[in-house]
Amino acid sequence: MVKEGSPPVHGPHLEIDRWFPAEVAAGAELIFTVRVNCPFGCDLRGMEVVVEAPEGPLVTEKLVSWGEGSNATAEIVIRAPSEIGEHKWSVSYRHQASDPPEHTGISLPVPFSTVAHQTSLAVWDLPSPAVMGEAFKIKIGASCAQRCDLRGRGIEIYDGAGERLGTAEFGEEAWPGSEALHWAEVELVAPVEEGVVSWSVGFSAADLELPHQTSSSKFSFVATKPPKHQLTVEVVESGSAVPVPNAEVSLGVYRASTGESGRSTVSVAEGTYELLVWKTGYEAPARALEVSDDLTVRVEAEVLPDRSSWEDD
Amino acid sequence: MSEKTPKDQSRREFVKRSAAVGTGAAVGMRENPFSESADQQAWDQEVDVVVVGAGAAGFAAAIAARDGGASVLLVEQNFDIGGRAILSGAACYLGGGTWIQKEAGIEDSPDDIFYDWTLQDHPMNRFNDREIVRTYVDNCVATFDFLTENGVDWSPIGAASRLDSVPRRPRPHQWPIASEVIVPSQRGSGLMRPLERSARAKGVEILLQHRMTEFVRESQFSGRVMGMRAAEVDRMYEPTGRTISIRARNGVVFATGGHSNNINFRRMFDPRLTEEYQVHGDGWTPQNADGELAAMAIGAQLWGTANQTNQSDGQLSKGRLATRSNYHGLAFTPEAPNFFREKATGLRVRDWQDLILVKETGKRFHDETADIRDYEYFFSAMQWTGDLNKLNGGGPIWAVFDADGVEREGWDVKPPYVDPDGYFFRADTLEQLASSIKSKYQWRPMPGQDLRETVERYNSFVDSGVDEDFKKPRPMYKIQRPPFYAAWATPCVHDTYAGIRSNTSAQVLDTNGEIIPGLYVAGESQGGFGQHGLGRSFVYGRIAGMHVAKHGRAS
Repeated sequence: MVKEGSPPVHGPHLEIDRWFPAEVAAGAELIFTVRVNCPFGCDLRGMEVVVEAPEGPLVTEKLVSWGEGSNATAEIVIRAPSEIGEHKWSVSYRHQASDPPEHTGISLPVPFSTVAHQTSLAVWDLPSPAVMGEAFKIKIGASCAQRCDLRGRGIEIYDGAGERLGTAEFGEEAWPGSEALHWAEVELVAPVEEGVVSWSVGFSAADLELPHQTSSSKFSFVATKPPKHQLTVEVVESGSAVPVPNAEVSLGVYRASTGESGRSTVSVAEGTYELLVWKTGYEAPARALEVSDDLTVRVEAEVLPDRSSWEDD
Repeated sequence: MSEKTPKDQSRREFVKRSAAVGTGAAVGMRENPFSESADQQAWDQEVDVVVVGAGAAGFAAAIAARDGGASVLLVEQNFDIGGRAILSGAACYLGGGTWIQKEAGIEDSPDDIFYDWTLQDHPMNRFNDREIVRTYVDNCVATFDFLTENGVDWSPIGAASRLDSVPRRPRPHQWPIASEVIVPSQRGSGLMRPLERSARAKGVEILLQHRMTEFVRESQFSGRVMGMRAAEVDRMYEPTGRTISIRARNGVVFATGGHSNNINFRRMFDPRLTEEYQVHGDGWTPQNADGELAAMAIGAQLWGTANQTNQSDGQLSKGRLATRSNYHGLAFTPEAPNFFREKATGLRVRDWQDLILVKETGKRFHDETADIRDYEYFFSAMQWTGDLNKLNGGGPIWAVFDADGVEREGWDVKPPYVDPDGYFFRADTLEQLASSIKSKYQWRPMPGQDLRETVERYNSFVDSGVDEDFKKPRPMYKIQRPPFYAAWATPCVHDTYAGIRSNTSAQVLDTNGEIIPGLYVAGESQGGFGQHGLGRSFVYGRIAGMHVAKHGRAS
């Protein structure tokens, strides 16, 4: 459809909907639509637009929809180059002979760069605490932002001085509940010295088909002497002596929560600790506790006033 | 006076009947509302009293005016009555020797309330206008009796609130008709549904889904307020294009719920409260300063502004997680009639040790275990984050936690408990979590490396037992087990504590301290009384209703 009285040569505009950003992951899918808008509202359906790289055309698509003076292609899907680098593509509407009235060609340069895929790590099931000199297991997972398959890829674990402590390869299954977290269980040995330990894990996927960034993550844990004594903590409401279940108990690095009886048992090393008990709605003062033998401790937790009368109004 | 007991009017019925009592002119807005006399106005309906806002103050005013012999039209922009009161826990600061206090053997007097509510040592009380408070305390008992007479069924009075020296904050029983209870965990329907029943039985007309747009005064800054105009709105408060003009022979009482949800207006009092801070219950009652703006347009004065800037408790809430309107004490269920506006119930935090709170930068900023009303926490949350493009407001706050945290809290991290449309995210790693956060309030991407380093450092505090950055008492749990989550935890704005100046008869005063004849204010739009909630709203609503019925035409 051509507007009456319009000139014989029309100069259309070209737009790209949902264009990719200036930086895209190598090999990523680029999804977009090209629009050609004639200022006189011409219906250009059937005409073609071309997406080109310097080495030649990548895609030729027909304009398939028209409305409100705008012509559009269907959704175009192209993979970005799989190498890292700068790229200068263009999107063009070419003058086409079967196009009355005449519409001049127009080309839109599209510079962008491709970058390596971002990877990142998670480290979990850390011991709390680990026993000095003894083996323990942790889990390490890695994920690619582009959801690449990382099965069989390896990770390396280093101590604080950069010495490699171990390696592992990811298994076949992604971590339950994750989108694409590939993981491995790793056995490590705690240092023979007591204290907070900070180690790191590194992931390199240099041999993958598409380029991936390396990633690393720190993790920490506490190494302690072997536990020798059983400490039983009994938490009751002050005054009524009613057992308090599901109260959290901590004794330095050792943690436990009370059962229905209000009791919890923790194996601890000899030493002096700060005993903390907490539960929402209760308050119990911290106290110092020297442990040199098996021990049972009773903690009276004060019931705090019900704040619901002013919290929920 | 209206002789029948109408139900909610349909638009057609309303205009048809309005034409019979008004001038019969076409419905519509004119360019200059201040240029015509009452005789020249084109009114769609005439009544003695128009009350704007069907919340606590509005219903008290409407019933009191009707009791005083006036015909009353109550205009509300929501599709149901109740205002914020129906969402509330329904605790009313109404003491001074009420019958329920006497039954419980509690001694109280107006003087005792006055003492409590003008105390200098509490930020909510110290800035109050003592004339406004004095009239409030002298009317508490009568207002409590008024509510009782109009059907409110009180439950036994509980303990004293932290602001009262004796128990004086009664609550009603829950309303027994489940379909009329908006928030099942709250008792506000126990106040508002009986008042609705009583008002309808007495002949108060109720016009829903109409938003007041202006008060019509004889001239802009002088003369009587003759009536008001309203625009019909749909269920999303969008104007339908139809408007209506209503003459109020005695006057207009506005009880529009305050200004908390009007960002420009609230920033007059605290410029930091920019757009990211959402508002309690705004999906039911918009609280957008309509009354204040319309009153100021005809000369009304603001009053009690120190109340709004005094860090009053109740103005901000640390909030629930993973939902937009996240006041800590309010969870809408999917059955709520306004859930289409709310979208998620949100997650209530049992133990703030189960998460860390980070800014849009991915960095912690405060001890997460701070109380839900701790102003030091809010100061930290609103602290500048270092972006020259965002100087006011502290940006969104995100709760970051892991699968273990979800398990400890017992959360179900799926809709309708969380709102994945900008308020809740999950990812396999912390870096991916940071990049997944897409919110209109997160104006720049959260750096993934910064979030990871924040968590690594926090996890080391769990090992050492000492939070070296923000002194969180004994950090308890590492954030380590995937998947990881980010949930909206930006503080939520609650009460309005400053508003339009009035005298003790609730008549609006102008900037010269002179009465604007025919205009009254009550509830959260009234200035001078920084009290959380319902007591002041009922008291001054009733005062306004009585006065406008008896003296409105002569004022």
